[in-house]
Amino acid sequence: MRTIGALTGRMAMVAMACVLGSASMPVASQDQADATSIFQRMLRATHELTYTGVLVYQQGGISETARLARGIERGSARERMEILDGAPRELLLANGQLECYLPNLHRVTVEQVPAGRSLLPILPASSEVAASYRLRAEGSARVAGRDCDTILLEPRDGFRYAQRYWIDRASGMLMKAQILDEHRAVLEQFAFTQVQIGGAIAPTLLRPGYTLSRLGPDWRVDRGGIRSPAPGDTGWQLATAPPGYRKTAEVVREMSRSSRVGHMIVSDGVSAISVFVEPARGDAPADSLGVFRTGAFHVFKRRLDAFVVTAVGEAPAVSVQAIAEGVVMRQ
Amino acid sequence: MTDEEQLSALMDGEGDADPAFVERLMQDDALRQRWQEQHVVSDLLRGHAPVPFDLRRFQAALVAEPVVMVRRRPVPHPRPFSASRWWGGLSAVAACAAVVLVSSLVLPRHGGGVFDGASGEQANVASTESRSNPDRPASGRGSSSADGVREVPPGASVHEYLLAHEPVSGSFLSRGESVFVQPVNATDPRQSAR
Repeated sequence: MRTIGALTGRMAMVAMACVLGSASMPVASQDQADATSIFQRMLRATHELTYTGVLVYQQGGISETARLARGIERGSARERMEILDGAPRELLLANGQLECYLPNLHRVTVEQVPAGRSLLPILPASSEVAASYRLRAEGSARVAGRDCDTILLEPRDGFRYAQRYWIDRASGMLMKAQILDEHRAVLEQFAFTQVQIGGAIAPTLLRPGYTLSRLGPDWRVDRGGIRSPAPGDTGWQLATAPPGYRKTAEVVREMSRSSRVGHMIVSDGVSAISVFVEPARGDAPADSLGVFRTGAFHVFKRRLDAFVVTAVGEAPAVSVQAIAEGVVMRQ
Repeated sequence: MTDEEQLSALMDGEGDADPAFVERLMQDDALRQRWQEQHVVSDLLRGHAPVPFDLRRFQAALVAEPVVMVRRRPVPHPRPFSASRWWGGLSAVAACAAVVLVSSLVLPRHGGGVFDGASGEQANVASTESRSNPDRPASGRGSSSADGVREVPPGASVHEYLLAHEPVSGSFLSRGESVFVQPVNATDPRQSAR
């Protein structure tokens, strides 16, 4: 496993490459201003519009299709996603609560989600991206029969991935999005293949086939194991992090291996990384530590005295590792 | 594999998706129309009001619908509805279909899954293996890549972390049902006995 010194050196090289790269870039152009305007409009539109459609999601060799609907009921926004292939699964997002129904398992998970979160995939959580990314207009294209503007969210350094968006010119709706690695290969993408934007959404499209308060006795309700949502009580803090990343939340969770796991969420406004700290159980095999990859996610696990630190995120390995290495016990 | 077969397999979640086909689905108006029509059928069967569409064109397409034969792979969960099964039933040739299906099972295989045909050459979505080492075969899972990043070994319990991360990650589709299965089996004897 790499030492902290080696990691710091790697981070410095990434930062230097960023500075050298940015020196050769032109100053903000009209294109960039246009791209910023389109991007801001897209973020507003996806939280204001009503819509229903079918989308295809793809990550590596895995794909799923889903029907997504967003409407207003009794003055509140509701989003419902129904997975159309494979095992049945339904998600409902309303009033900051996410319910995920798995009828085959007779199980439902209930989680509180950060404000502004949508079921629409690959949607940035924040509009404050200028410090870590630059926006570039890339022209136009058609998606699901609609004219779209294409913009690229380009990272200013190697600590995050690029994202590309296809945005409906008429409404501002996000029609297609991709996450791209450092070689511009697509790690993850989604696109609507059919969509209706605006107008009233049929209530049947917004209500899941199940109701939390009326589930049978054989259903298991999992509320995410959050013991304490109060900030600052995990006992851990992030001493260092790659540029642009900061801790946005922390909770104490109950998980299968420990009844008290500190969970910190670190984000640059677009990319989110979770860090879990839990008591070590015996000697962890050496090959269980280090950096791993699963799909578009990187996982980094290390020992910290009598604890194990695990960081997970859709970000380059160097960022996930740096954030895991930055965790220290709160003094 | 024909477009119709690929559409039906994609709707049923069978096999690995061919990224080239998915990309074409996003761009090709005619192909997308076929996709929409199949989803309209699905919506009607599920009791949902479909998004408005051209009924006359849909009916014409329904009449002209060919039998779709897709070689199935084992599915771990029972599925109450399968679009391709229903679609095939419309053509009233179920008996013939069964014969052809049995025949297809003994034909030489061209790869592990129904989408394997062109995905290796045309993939525009990076697979984790090809990113780390384009020459490494698919069976190389679990070994180290040139940059020292290893695939999560089979049986490693990262699912619970991914599940806890999901509400903040912005992607609720990336892990499928499997992410829920392992923690349940690990902690709930009732589920294990199911």
